[in-house]
Amino acid sequence: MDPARYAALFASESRDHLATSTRLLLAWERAPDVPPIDDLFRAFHTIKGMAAAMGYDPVTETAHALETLLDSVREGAAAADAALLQQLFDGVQALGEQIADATGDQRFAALTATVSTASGTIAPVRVARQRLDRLGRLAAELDVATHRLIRYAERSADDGLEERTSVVRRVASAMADEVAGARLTPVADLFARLPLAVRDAAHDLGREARLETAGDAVEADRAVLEALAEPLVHLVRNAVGHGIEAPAVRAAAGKPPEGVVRVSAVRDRGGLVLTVQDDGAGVDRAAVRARAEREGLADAGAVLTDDDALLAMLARPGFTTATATTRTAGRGVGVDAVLVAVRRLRGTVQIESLAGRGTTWRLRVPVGVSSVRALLARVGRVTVAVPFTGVREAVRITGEGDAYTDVRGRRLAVRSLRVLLGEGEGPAMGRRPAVVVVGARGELALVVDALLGQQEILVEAFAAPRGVPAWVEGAAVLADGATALVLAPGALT
Amino acid sequence: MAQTVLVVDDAIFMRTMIADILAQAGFEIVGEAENGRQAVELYAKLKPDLVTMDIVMPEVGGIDAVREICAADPEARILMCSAMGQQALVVQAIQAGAKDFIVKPFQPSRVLEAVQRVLS
Repeated sequence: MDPARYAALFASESRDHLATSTRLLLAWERAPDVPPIDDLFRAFHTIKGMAAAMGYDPVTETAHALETLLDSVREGAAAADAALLQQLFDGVQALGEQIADATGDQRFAALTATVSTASGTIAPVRVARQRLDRLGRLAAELDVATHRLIRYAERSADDGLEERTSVVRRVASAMADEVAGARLTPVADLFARLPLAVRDAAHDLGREARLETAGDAVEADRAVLEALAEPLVHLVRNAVGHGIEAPAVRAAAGKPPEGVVRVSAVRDRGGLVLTVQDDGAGVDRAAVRARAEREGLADAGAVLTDDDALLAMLARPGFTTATATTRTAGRGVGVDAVLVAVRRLRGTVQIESLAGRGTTWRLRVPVGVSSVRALLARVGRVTVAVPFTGVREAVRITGEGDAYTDVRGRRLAVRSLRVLLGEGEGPAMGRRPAVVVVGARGELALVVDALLGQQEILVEAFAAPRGVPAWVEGAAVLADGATALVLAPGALT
Repeated sequence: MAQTVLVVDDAIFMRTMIADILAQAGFEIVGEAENGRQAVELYAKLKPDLVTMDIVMPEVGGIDAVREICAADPEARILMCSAMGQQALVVQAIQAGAKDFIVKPFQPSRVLEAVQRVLS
């Protein structure tokens, strides 16, 4: 018997049973009169059987102990009370960690509770995720390549060529759409872990909190959702740990003792917008400022009024205002990890915090990873592409060489892309187009020569030669065959 | 001609393991069921020479499935697959009509010995 052959089956089935157990325990907690003992027993029993076959002794023992606990409830020897329920929660957590150790797959330790949805009578096909990634990449490349072929065919005098490439174009485009569609996953899979995260955080910190979700059916590329899984859990835990007040405090403030964490997903023209909102006390800006001053950071006072400045401060690696660490909060690794993950997806993060009312986090990311919708602009001899998710708006500004400009009542720092790219000074113009982006420390207005419209582009990251700044992410081949420099505005200061 | 087997267990992992052991020994796996209800349906349709049956399953469990299959076919040859510590349930299964049992985790040699006993 060669256990290695069955390791993949063990992993995927255990994942399903752990997710089911978590879901059942959460349901039990909400409806204590109807404990799902038999279903839970079966889940532990199955894991035990498989672990025994694989020789994963610690897992077998823990699963057996959980079975015994449930048996004692079934026979009336133990009461199905909150303490026992907590024992079961802890046991399932331990099971996940032991499976992670046994299989070497650390995702089990975080109880990846992706709910497997039964879809009617046709069983879904399992496709290895790497294959799906490769398919996505190839389909996008084929799409771009056929774009260029069409342009070439249009310029040639050969009628036959144009007609044939048109067919290729149609098929390649349809295929790219199908592959993109195959990679789409409902956001509900991403939300599946959150009820447990809220529950654990509330339990650890003596809070009462519930989770509400919206937009579960919204779809996005699975790679995008996987990258956001951990960040979302961080934000939700923070909402309970730092946002929502203790029940007595809430009652004194006229709020219901149970706080609400609302997570929603919406698609807009730029991509996917995930919002995490709590009805707590808002970020303690005074504490953030005090902490910033203690660390000797300049302009600490800005956090009192400016949400972008507040975000920049919270996102500093290791920054925390908590005085004690628990499983849930205070480790200071949450917010900067969120920003890193979102930026890697070419997305942006925004925070809104109202004292006494609550905090809202807004993550904006592209829906897909292979190709990205971008705003094109000409800067001297160079065409630049700025992914839409990093763009706030496009404006016209006056004043040559000014360091700052006012846009709709906001004061923005101005950067000339001509200067940044070494293209020299352009001709004098009264009003110049500028792209307002979310930079590393707040909004910036990037001045360009002309806006060229928008396009879906395939970003080719490169191993950048020395001297290429961090805000140049890569290059892209445009539909007309020209190349564009892709900017990462999040790295611009 | 190879003897036919119906494998019944709610875990794909377990079904795969049992099927592999038996297939390598020359048996033909003609069906798989993930609960007792499917087991009864497939038994009627496939009339296998042997059934391997798990005990703990959703919807309809192994013992009830054994009872139903044996009521329709007293000649049915069913081998129970139980986990450790389920002696009472194994006894019930034998009383319901199962011919023999094996205990998880499986050792191929023990499995094949038990299969031979059931088929003879």
